Amino acid sequence: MRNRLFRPIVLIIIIALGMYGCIYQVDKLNTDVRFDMSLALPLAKGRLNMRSLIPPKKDSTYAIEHYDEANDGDSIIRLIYEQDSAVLIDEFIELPRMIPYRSSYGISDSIIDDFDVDDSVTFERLVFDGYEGQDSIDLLNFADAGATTLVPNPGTGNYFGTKPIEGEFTVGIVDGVQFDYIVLNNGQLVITVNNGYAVPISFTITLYTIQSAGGGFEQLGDPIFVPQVPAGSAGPLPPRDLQNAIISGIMKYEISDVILYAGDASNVIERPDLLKLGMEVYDLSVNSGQAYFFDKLLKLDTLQYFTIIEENGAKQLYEIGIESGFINYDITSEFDAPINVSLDLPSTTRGTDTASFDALVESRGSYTDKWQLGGYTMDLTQNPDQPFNSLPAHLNVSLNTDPNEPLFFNTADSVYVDLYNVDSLHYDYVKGYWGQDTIVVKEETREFGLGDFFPSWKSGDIIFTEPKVTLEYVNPTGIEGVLDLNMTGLKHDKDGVLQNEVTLQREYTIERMQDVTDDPIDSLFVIGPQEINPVFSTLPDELRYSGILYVNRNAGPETINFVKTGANTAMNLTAELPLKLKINDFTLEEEFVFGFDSLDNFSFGELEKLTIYFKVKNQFPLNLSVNAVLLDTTKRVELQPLGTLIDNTLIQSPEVSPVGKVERGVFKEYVEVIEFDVDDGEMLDKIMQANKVLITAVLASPKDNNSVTLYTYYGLDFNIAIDANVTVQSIEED
Amino acid sequence: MKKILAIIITTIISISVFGQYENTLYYLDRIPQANYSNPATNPDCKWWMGGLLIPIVGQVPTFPMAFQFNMPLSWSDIMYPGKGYMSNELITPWYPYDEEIMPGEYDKNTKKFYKKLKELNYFTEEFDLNLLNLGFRVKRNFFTIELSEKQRMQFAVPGDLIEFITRGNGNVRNADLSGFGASFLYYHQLAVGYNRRFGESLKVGAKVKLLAGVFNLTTEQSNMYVNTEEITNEIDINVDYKLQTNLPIKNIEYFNDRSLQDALDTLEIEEPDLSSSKEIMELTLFTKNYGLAFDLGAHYEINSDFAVHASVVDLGMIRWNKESSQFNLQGNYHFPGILDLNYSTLDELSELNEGDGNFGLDSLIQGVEDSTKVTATQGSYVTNLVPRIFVGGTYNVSTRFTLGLLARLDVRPRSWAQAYTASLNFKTFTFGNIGLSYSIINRSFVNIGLAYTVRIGPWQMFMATDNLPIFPIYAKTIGFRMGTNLVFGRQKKIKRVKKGLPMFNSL
Repeated sequence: MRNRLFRPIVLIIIIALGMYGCIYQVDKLNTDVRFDMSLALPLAKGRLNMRSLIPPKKDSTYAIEHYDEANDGDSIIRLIYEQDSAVLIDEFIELPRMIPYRSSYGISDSIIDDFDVDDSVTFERLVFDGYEGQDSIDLLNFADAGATTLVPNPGTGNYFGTKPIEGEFTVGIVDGVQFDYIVLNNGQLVITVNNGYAVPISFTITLYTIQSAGGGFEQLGDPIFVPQVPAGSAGPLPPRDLQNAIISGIMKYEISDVILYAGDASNVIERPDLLKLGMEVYDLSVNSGQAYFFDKLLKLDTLQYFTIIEENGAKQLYEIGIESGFINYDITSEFDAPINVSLDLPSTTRGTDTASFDALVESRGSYTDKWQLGGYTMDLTQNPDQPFNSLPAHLNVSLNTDPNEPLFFNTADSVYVDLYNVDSLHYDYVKGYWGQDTIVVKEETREFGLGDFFPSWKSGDIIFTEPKVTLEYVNPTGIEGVLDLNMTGLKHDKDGVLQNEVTLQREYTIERMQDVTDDPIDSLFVIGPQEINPVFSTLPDELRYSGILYVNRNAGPETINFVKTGANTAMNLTAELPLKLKINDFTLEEEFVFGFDSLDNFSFGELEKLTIYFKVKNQFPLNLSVNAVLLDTTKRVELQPLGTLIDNTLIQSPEVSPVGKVERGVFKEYVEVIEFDVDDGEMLDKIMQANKVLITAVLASPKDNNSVTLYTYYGLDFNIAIDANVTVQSIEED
Repeated sequence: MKKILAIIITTIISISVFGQYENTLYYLDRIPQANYSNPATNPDCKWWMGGLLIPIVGQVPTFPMAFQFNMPLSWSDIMYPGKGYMSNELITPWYPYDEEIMPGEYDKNTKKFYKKLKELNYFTEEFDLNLLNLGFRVKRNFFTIELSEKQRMQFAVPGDLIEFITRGNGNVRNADLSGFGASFLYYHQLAVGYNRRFGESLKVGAKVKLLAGVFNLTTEQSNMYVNTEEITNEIDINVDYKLQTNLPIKNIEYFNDRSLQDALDTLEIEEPDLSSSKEIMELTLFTKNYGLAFDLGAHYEINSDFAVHASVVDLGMIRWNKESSQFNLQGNYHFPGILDLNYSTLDELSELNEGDGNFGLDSLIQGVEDSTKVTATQGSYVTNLVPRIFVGGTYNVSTRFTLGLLARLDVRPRSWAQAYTASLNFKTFTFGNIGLSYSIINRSFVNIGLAYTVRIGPWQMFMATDNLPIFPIYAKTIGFRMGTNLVFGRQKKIKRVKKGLPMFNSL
């Protein structure tokens, strides 16, 4: 039993001693520790190659293209600045239009020309009608005996009439008008007498006329005394003024107070002998009246010329192909009858058709409408006096009345015709001669993206060896001229103050199309490196161009110019800048984020030693001199530089082929190792303080001032890394 | 902090007084549990029984269980008496000696420590709870039946990882962190064993183990490399992990081609329905995750003095069928720098310069998370047990004393753990057996083991450990097996072996 208990007890004691020993040991444990660590951190890595720095891009300002010039798969970058522009022909050749034509037509106050009418009285009628109750034997014998002649008894004295004799003057159709009556403004009336009797005669004549439509005859003025008219003689009486008088188509007259004077035996008067009376009306000015118009034309079909001009009127127009357009018309009639208006344009044709238009205006009505001219070709050269801008036209205006119905008229009534084209004539083409004129190519200003090539460029000269500016001028007109183009490159500082300005002026002869149906003339002008380099050598940030197009500078009137609608000139200016350049002290500068504060959520502990590795792989065919300055950009500008990290370190170029090219995968590697230890406390503080590093790289000038070609795969690989030997220490303070 | 640290370490070391147990137990054939290491071994009784399910015997004075914990380092490797002005204190390898007083001492200590690290450093833990043990003899045949609960845990830490963390990537530029991972295994085991003596010299045994897996989480494959380039310091991180588990994970198809962060953010375990008895049974007993393992062993008595012994145990696997899923994590991440200007245009650079500085080391972590893609599949998988191979020999010094040598090899996925033990076993009359041992375990040379059994009537109590707490701070292992058995039909007397002369009398 003793043995059985002994062993477990011994075992328990051993365990207890072990536990105690451990507690005792652990109680003496010093937990102070220190870890000497080396932290190898990649701080920054970059591959700034040309492809990534200047990626292909296209926007409204410029385009960057990567093109394979030699088709060997290696691309070169070129900047393409394109500026599309157009000389707006619409501003130069305005829409043609017709000078408004306005005319009025009415019945003229001279619608009835001078006219004369006559009548006669036989001796037989004179005796029987005018001497009723006469007691003269001679007359009685003549009347009763049926004698054919009368020989007045000499010495028996004169024969005095006892009764008036009536007669009529009938006016026929005068100038196509037969009037019932007319109201005169003015006029003269003359009575003429031709005595066919064998003895003298005197009498009084009284005229009667109709005063109004449906009215009866009324005496026209005072009776006219006709003094003794010798036998066989004639003569006019004094004229009578007809101002405001009314004369009718049938005028009545009355002869009274007839005296036949006695003669001798030789004076034999036969029964058929005539006393002729004439009435002449002249110097008529008609006011109104009622008449039958047998000839209905108010306006005769006479040729006239409308005038078609371009807006400013200075250009000679020969032919217009009308796309759309109208001749508008407004017609107003004061007549109590319908009016017909017709227009014929003999030189305005559409195929075999000639433009012709009609309009009917109701009695005392008005009408407004338009005549379509779309599709017609208008020849404006048919006027012998002015073989341009003239459009031949026939305009007819006529009454649309029944010739058997009288028409009351007033010479103050008119038909008013207005012809015009408010909307102008939209043309397919216009031919003419524009004369020698100028068109201003308004100045175009664009932000120029050349700085994007080298946004980090600080200073130094750069000359593009193969810049090219191409001007493409597409001329779809028959206008030739000379384009005087100014192109200016401007460079501003960051505050926008102009630093440099270089202008290039060039003249280009612009050819014209010979015919409307020809293809547009595409003129291509290339400005070579020698000329354009001054503009681009300053890396302008703005490009302006402007100019003047001298129209027909070398073309005379024999030249037929033309323009077509919608075919404005297109001007495309393309500046191509391949990265083939000569550089001298070319300095690039760029700020990079650099800062141990970027090691967020990381505490360095106590820094014992810091090694900075700056590794560069240079693939450019040029040596580089690199400088790195620590910055604290949270401070004022003058206080920002904290110290130089890399001082003008030379990084040589890799092997360059005989053609000046660095092949793919070939580069020159350079490693700069910068070590700081605890003795460099001040510099370490600055490193810790810095938030950016300013890298300045100066590209060495090529040997013999040769140009270099920068391929897209060229680049700089760089790594910035640190080895930080730090001590992380934990010392428990009692 | 000191007190907390002291308590933690004391607790761990107080457990570690026992150390491993199998090596010392291997030759104590009076303890039926020696059969666990070699199925050809059986006690000198006709039959026996034990286990938690046996009333009283299974619970008093302790449960029949075994525990084992192995560490890659001993406490003496990470704390030891200082030198010079620190001679009165314990220090760690990183104690900041004053360089003016003791120049070079810090570097010497740290180098010594890192040298002790292996490529892969395992923390392993095992726990066995024996529910039932039966054994009986039928003439020359011996049968055993065993029912146990077994739990295994393993955590592997690459040596480079520790050095990487404590020395920085500038000193460990090519860190191989492969093997970093863990596995957890819990299963039921029903084992049926049989051994038989063939002739006078050879005894052969075998054991068939039926396994039922309950829970598993295994890092099946873990490759991770962190390389830091010279000069540029660019960091490449390669990750190739394969995880297996039978955890019921919801919406597993969602994980495919997701980043690691996404996967972790959306990971959700389906809770079991504990109200269902069927579900409970499937979770605990009939898990559908079945496996099979074998133990093989043999003893061969060369002559009356010498014998050789060999065995292989836990040669088998478990196939996980229920709720099984596998996750592949693969990623390659290149960290070019805190500020990556690669292929950026100057416009982007300008934005970067004007930005809020939202870049830095966070991007490294984010980059790894983003670049590591998860591929998830559902389906069965297999986990292998950790086989152990024992080879040894014994020499009977006398009837009661036996000297033994034993080599043990644990075959782990990426490495082999070795242990060598020399033991002296003493049979105390008919009721006891004591074994003392010295072991070299896991490159630890100070391991004194003890195993003993005491029998009172049929009641037998035993305990075994390979590492007594004599030198606890040097121990890398913690382990013991203890329990009680009821043994019947034991031999009344020790059969005296008639020794011949010379020593190798049968050769």
